[in-house]
Amino acid sequence: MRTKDLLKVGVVAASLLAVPSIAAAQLNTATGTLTVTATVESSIGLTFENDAAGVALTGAGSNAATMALGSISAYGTIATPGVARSVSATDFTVSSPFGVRVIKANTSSANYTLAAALGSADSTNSWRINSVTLTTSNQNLGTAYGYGSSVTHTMSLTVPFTATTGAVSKVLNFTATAN
Amino acid sequence: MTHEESAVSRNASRYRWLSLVLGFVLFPAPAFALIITLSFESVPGSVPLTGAGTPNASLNFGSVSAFEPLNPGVNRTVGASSYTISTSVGVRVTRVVSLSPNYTLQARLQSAHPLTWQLDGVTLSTTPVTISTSQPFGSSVPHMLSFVVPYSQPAGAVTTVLEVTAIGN
Repeated sequence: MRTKDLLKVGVVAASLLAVPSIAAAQLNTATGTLTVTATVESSIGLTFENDAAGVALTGAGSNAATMALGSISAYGTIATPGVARSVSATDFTVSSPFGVRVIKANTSSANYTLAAALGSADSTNSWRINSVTLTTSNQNLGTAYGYGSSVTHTMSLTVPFTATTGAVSKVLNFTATAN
Repeated sequence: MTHEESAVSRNASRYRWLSLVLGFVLFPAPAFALIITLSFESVPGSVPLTGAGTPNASLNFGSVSAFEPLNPGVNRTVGASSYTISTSVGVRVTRVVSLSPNYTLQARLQSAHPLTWQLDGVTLSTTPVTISTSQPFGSSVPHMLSFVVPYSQPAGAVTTVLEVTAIGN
């Protein structure tokens, strides 16, 4: 009888040892859950692009580019490639084409409206995009431009003969609005 | 001691040994026993977690888009047809009882999702995938969580649940 009792004790002891071993194996891993949320919003992006016939932009492909016309005058040589000139009785105009590309994301908008404005007033010179004279308020340049491709526009600067020589610099702000 | 008592004593000794051997076979601990815990941690400069320091946390990227400003701690790379949103998430795995020097981290999505989700550049699915091996215990290890949003994806809410598992090596 004592032998059987000891056998039972041994089996029970082994069982007690086996159970925590299984539990320990399960504790060999640890798991956590991370709930991630976001709200995708519609947006459009605008970039300036080079036009093959125009001045090469610094910062082409971005939304902040620079068009350097170089030295301009009514009758002297204009060395910068892509700058066109026309001369009238009282002023001269230099111009260059450039591209505007607008990309849409997460929106069903079919096209966009483009507007432009001067960053600050210019009491001497006149600035135009295409045929639209710019002011410090947004001027509409078109209402149904297509997304994805570069659309050519022409920037024109008209300088009166009465203007003094020197550097000219102006910021032109463009705004695309999804329709 | 009688003859009968002597026989009982020999049998008892035999069964004690059997029990010990059986115990060591079934229970190789404490040499290999491992008790580890996992918690998510906020990473400075990244999106703060709700429930940081626990194994069940939440991360809210807020409003995300291809071209509009993002919340602090949210990073974005813009491609030709999609953009990727990302931030860092810390994972801390602590060993309570272990001689194991490090752990392997795995992750999966609890349910399938139309967007592509990645942890440290590893694309996640509903099947666990190894993110990293030989991770150190005790310290918060930052992992880059990102998801790719195609331009064609309709605007709206996005939710997913990541299941992250640490396995002691």
